Parts: sequence; C-alpha cells; structure tokens
Amino acid sequence: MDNIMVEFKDVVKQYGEGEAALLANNHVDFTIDEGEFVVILGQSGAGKSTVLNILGGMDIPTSGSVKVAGKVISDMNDRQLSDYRAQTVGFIFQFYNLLPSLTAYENVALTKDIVKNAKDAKEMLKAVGLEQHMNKFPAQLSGGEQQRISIARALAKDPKIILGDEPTGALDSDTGVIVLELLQDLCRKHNKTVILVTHNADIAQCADKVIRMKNGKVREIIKNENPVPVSEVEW
Amino acid sequence: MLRKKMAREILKNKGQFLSIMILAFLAVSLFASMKASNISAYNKLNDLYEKTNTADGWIFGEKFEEKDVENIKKIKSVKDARRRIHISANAKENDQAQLEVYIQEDNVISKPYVVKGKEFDAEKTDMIWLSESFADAWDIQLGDNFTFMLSGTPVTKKVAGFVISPEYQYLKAGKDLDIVKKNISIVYVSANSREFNEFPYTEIIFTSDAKDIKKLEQDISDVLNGNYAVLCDKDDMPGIKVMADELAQHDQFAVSFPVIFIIIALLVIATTMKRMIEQQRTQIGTLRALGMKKNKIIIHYISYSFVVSLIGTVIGIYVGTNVFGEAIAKIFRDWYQIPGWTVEMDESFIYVSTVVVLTCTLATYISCRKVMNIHPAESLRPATPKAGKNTIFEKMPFWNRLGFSVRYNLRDISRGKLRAVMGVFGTAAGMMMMVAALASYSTIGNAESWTFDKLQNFKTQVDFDTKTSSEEAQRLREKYDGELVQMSGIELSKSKKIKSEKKRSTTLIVTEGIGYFALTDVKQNVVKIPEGTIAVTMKLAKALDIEKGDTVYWHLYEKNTWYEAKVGLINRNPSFSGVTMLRKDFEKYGIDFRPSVLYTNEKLTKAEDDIILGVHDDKDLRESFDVMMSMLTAMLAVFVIFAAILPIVVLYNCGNLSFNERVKEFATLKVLGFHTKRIRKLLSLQNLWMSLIGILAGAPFGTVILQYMFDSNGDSMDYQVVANPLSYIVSAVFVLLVSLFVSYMFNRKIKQLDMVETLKGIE
Repeated sequence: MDNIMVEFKDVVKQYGEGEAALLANNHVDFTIDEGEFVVILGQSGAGKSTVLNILGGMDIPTSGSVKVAGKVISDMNDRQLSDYRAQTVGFIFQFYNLLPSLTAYENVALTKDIVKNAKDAKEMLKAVGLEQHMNKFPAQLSGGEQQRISIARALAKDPKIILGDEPTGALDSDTGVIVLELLQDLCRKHNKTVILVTHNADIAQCADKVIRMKNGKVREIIKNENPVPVSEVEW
Repeated sequence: MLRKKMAREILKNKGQFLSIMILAFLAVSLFASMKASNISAYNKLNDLYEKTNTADGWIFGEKFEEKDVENIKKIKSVKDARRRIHISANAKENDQAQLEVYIQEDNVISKPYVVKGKEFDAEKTDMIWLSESFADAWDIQLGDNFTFMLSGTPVTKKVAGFVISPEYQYLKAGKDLDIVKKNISIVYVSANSREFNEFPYTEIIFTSDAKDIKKLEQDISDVLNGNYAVLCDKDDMPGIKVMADELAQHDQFAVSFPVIFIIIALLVIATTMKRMIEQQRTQIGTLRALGMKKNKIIIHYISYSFVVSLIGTVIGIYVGTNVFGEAIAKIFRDWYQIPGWTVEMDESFIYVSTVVVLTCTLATYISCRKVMNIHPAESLRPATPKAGKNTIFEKMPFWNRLGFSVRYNLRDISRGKLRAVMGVFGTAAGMMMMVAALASYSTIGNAESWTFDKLQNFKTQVDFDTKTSSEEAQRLREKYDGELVQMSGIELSKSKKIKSEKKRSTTLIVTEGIGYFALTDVKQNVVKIPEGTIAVTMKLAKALDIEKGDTVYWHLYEKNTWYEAKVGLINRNPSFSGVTMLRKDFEKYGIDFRPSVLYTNEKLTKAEDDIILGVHDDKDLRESFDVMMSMLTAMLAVFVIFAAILPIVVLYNCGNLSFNERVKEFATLKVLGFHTKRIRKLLSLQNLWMSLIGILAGAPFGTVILQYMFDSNGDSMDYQVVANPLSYIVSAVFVLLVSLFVSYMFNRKIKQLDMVETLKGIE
C-alpha cells in the first residue's frame, strides 16, 4: 500500500444546520493509488463534486480525514491549503476558467507566479497541441481548445494529481474525446493521478477505478482490470 | 413582482446604489444650498426696492438747483427725480461712529425701509432716523436723543425710527476692514431743518424705466449743461454692488460645482448598471422567453437609477435648501442687510432635479440597451466572455518584461475603460477640490504676509476726521514721522467721451511715496511709481483694457473736472483695487491734498489730537484681517468635506466593480494556488494606479479652480493663489489612504471568497 495517493476516511460534509442540514458526503471512504485514472460517477447531488472540492483543497470536510500524497489536508489552515493547491493539484473546470484578459501562453505561464519550478509554458502548449495558438486570447478559441489550455495550465505546475470536474461537460463529443485522450495520456505516460467527476457512464469504461456515488455515499468501487483506451470507446 | 426584484437588488447592491444616491444628493444639495439663499435674497431685494421706490440712477455733482431736478424729470424715460444732500459726519458719542447723513426734502425715492418706529417725514425737523443695525449695536431706543457733529457743531435730534437703507445692503465703516455694526450708520434727517440751509445739494436720484441707465447719460449731460460729476446705476453703488457681486458668485458656484458631481454620478451609474445587466443576462433572457415585453424589462432596469437618483435628489433639495441654504443665509444675513432674507425655491429647482434624474435614467438606458437587443434564446446561453485583446500598452518596448500582475491589470483596464475613466476622473476631481481647499489657507497666508510685510510697513494707522486739512495733518506727521495718504472715490475712463463704455467708479490713493504704504508689481515685488505717472491695479486694468504707457482720464467723484494721466505701473494689491499716484503729481493738477490717514511707526492714541478719528495698531489690523478670512475658511471647510466624499465614493465603487467583475477570476486563481496576499495585490494595484493617476491629473487644477473662486469674489479682491507643497502632500496622502482603505475592505472579501460557490454558478 506504499503507493496510495489519496485516502478518504469516514469523511462527512454537512451544509447548513438543523432541519435544513444537508449531508453532501455521508461517511465516505475510498483510496486511490498513484498513477490511477479514476472516475467518480453519480447523478447530480450524489456528492461527487463535494469529494472533488475537498480533494482540490477548496473545501474542508466537517469530519473525517483526507490524506493526499502523505499529507493530511483535512486539518490544514488557509495558508497551507493554498500551498497544497499550488503544489499538489491541478484543477480542470467544466467551463475552463481561463483568465480572459490573458493570452493562451500567459494563462499557462501564470503558473510561474505560483510555483517555483513551473514547466515551460510553450512546452506545455505543445503537449496539448496548441502552440500555434499561444498568442490568442481565450475568446478567440473554441471550447475544446480552451479546455486543452486549461489542461496545459494544470500540467505546468507539475502536480501530483489532476482533478477534473465534468471536463467534457460543455464540449461536443468529438472535442470531448480529444480532451479525454489527453487526460488518459497524462496518466499513462506521465504517471499522473487523474480523478474525473462526471455523470457520463461512458467515460467510466476508460478508468482504472470507478467510484460510484449516490446520496452522499459511496455505492460501489469497481476496479477495472482492462480499461479501454479513449479512442476505442463507442461514444 | 418586478418591483420586489428591484427593491431586493437595490438592497443587495446597496453600496453602489448608495453612492449614486449620495452623488445625486451632493449635486442637488450643493445647487440648492447656493441657490435657495440667493433666490430669497433676490426676491426680498426686489420687494425692498419696490417698497422703498429705490432710485435707478444717481447723479453726483458739486451743486444741484431745483430747476436741474425739473429738467431731469423732463427726460422721457425718467419717471421721477429728487435732489438730496449727503454729508459724511461722525457721532458725538458712540465711539464717534461714521455717519452717512442723507438730508431729504420728502419721502418719495429711495425711502428708508422702517423696521421699527415712524416713516420718514420731512415735516418733522427735530427727528432723526438711524440704521437698525447701529441702533441695535448701541442699544438706542426710540425717543432717545442722538447727537452728531456737523462741521464741529453738535446737532441733537430725537430718534424717530430704525431703518434699513435700500442703497446699503453692504454697510462698512471706512476705517474698518470688516463689518462692525456699531461703527457706522445711515442717517436720515429733514432738509427743512435750518442746520442744513447752507449745504449744497450734491445728489440727484431718479427712477426710470430705461433698461440701461448709462444710455441716458447724453440726455442728462445736455439738460445739466455738463455740470455734474458722475452718473451711476445700481451696479456702481458700492453699498449695492458688493452684495450683488456676492450673489453672482453664489450663482456661479451653484452651477459649476454640481456639474462635477453629476458627471461622476453618471459614470458610477453607467458602470454599475452595465455590470448589473451583464450579470443578469440570463434572467433577462428568461423574462423575455416567458413573454415579457422588451420595453417592460427596459423600464424595470431604468427604474433602478430613476428611483435611486430621485430619492437622492428629493433629499438633496430638502436638506440643501432648509439646512445648508438656511445656514448660508444665516451667515450672510449678518453681513448684508436685506429684510426677511431666508431661503426660497423657484422653478430652476424643478429643472435641475429633472435634469439630474433624467440624465441618470438615460445613462442606464444607454448602458442596458445593448443587452436588450440580444435574441432571448441567445441571452439564455452564457455570454461569451468579454474578449481580451491586445492593448496599446503592449506596444511598449518593455511590455514583455512586466510582471504578471501588471500585465493582467493593464489588460483589465483596457477591458473596462469606463470604470478606469470613472476612477481617474473621480479621484482627480476629489484631489482638485482638496488641493483647492488646502491651498486657500496658504493663499490667505500669502495675502497676509503680502499685506503686512510688503504693502503696509507701519505699526499704527491713524484715521483723520473727514474735514481734516492738509496743514493739520502735516502738523501731526511732523510730530510723529510717517506717511500721509489720501483716499478718494474717483471715476476712471480710458477715453474722454462722456458715454465711454470703458469707465469705472473706483478708488484713488495718493501717497507721499515714502514706503509706509508700498506698492507691489504683479509678481509681488515692492516697486515705486515712476514719477509723473499713475499705477493701476491689475484687475482694474484688465477690465478697462488699460496697459502700461496708456493715457487715461479721471475725476474726483464729487468734482466735475476731468484730468489726464499716464499709466506707469500695473500693480497688484490683494484687497485694494484702483489707482495710486504720488502726492506731488496729484498737487500738480492743482487739487488740494486732503489726507485721510497717517501711517506711522510711533504709538499714539486717539486722545492725542482732535483731528484723529481712530487709531489702529498693526495687531488690530491683523486681527480684522483674520476675522474677514474666518468666513472664507468656514465655507472652505464645507468644501473640504465635499471634496473628501468624492474619492471615497468613487474609489469604493471602482474597487467594488473591479472586484465583482473579476470575482470568478480571483476564485480561479485561488484554486490554482495563488495565496490570498497575491490576489489582494492584484486587486489593490489597479486601485492604486487610478488613485495615483487621479492625484497627478487633479493636482494642477486645484489652484486653477481656487483662482477662479477668488477671482469671482468681486472687483476689489485680488488674491494670488499660492499652493505650498504641503497642500499637495496632504491631499495626495488623503486620497492614497482612502485608496488603501478601499483595498483593505476588499481584501477581507478575497479572504472570505468561497471558491466552490463562486465557481459553481459559472456561466
């Protein structure tokens, strides 16, 4: 069990108090190994985004403990969480969240201001196949291209894990495939731990591990011995 | 239902809507405060003129006969005319107060306005009418005996009434630097009493329906065969003019300053509403998809700023009129005598309120019109983010070397130009007003040292009785050493023609050129008048288009003979406007030198000599200078407060807008691992730039606007605006502090920024 990257232990996340209280995560337990390609699957309101937000250091659990890369993040303070977000995770949003006033290149190069040994932005853009667009602004690019830039941005920090919240949710299936291939590649070739949250069951076939959630609880964890490469999936 | 939506959203965005309300309030209340007291003053003044049948024209001369009056009456546009005797005298007691005695044959033109007691009656030869302000200051009662000195002889009469003269709203004793009510009174007595048999009638007063009295001058000159000195209208009468100047100045302020606030209010509205409508794009789409008419939605959004600016305007009118306006009227009631002066409104209040509310509403319409034109299906989809684009800043050679924060903010500014304009303009306006307000203190300080260190080089000012002869004065001067100075009213003209447009009533100072009473050039350097020439003060020279080397014409106010003179110097004096010449040149005209003052370094008292009317030491003079300035500084304090509100409101709004417009970007940066401190810096940087640019842009205009304020303060004041570095430093530090405070407020918001919540609703 040396290579455990993520450990959720009895995690509870409660929003609100008393009668209006909502248990978004109700005693959630799971582990994820280093280099795994994991999909958290569930309907809206299943609690999967809450898991991702806690993992991303954007939210803290009400109780329970979360350990990422050997560090307990569930009791970190604001500053420590900032450092954690900067150094350990790369986040990919459904709507890309690029800074509209920065060019593609600058959006990626931004990471130099966050971590000391950020990777070269041009290299990263090359890796996602967009070096020819590096001087364009987000508004001049398609959704798929914007998402690839946001992946390049996540990669530039050289994080241990990459988190994606419905990264293909706003894309048509063709561009969605390109993005997913890219993510699967990261996992296979660069040994990154990739965790995606989605309600799209098709994506699950490509994952090493599928965590199925419902009503704030983990329903089942499926180990996929033979994950299908993204390109071979029938969408 | 939309009404509920509006109420809730105004509450939600209370900061910005409050700013709009405050700006509308400031603009309107500033206007109302100046205007309300002015309207009342004008109305009450007209009432006074009507009730007292105040003269429209004054003719001064050496002596007028009854037939002169009859001839004047025959001029077509003259309604009625009277002659009267005017003597300057002194009270026997009462600190020998200055008395302007009007000896009248009846009570028809320029009737004294009776506050208490009987109407003036020429049959009552044993009665006297005194100024109400004077009687009040000395606690004189009706029926008391009052004695004044007439050519050395005491004349005693019984006080029949307390009056206000319609010809003297401004009543200041010659020896005083500011208004001291117990030192001067207008006095009315009957011409039928025998004491005045020997005195010549020096004035003809007449009423007329001519619009321009000066156009009658040719006719008057014809019927009087040129035997008169001056024809004056109300604008020439010092007792009326000082007041009229003051009111005109208020009228000017009532327009110019509110305009600044309205422009800023418009910028705030335009930026606020634009942001709000862009944020509510989906809501607007939904409403339209539900079938709501476009106009109804437009009206809904327009009503935000309509309601907010209307509330601000209504409160502004009420408070401006009844609180600020009444306060101003109260201050000036003490200075100027207009019976019944309070505050009043007129139709201009409706116009100004309408303009303010409508422009605010229109600004909203313009900023929301664009969104309304989007097809509903389209506006239901998330808006394409406002495109970043290459900015002009990128053309700078060092662009690539700029840090991320700088580049990011420069691009952000070019995306929100209106916001940047608002920030810079608002701070600049605030800075300008702050500098103006603070520089006024150094300007007054400069005027004080200019007056007391350069112009007035004496320890004691000795005022002589009006009848003092040259010999008597000379005797005193030999005893104490010093400089004798004569001050007389003259009329100055650039041409010889009777009907010259370039003609002004002003003051002549005749000095002995010793230097106790010195002159300075336009740069405040002490200079001497070249012999054989006269000096004209700068403002007067400008008004009459006179330059050094010009020939001008003048005559003593009460004399009919015109003299010629050459201008050898344009001089400047903060509190004197007029002509200065040397005694020897004056005497060359063959006119008697009749000194009114002795300036000396010796200490002496009033008891020293009979001819001494009063003695002021330099401490007195400085004190009364300070008193005169205290009213100005009180008004400026109000100005400072208004000035301080501007950068607060504007920078708060800028901060608020730039925070709200970029809140999602900040949340993203936070997720990426930016520390709160870095994001704060990012946000503060822009505010800091705007304040810095605003400070730099506003600073030079501070003195410009201040000079404009001082210049509009009447002809006799000529202050040279001087700003010391401290004025700039204090203003700049204040604006920066406000900027830092605003940044601090939003720093807290960044710390509390909920990444999950903010990014969840992303569209």
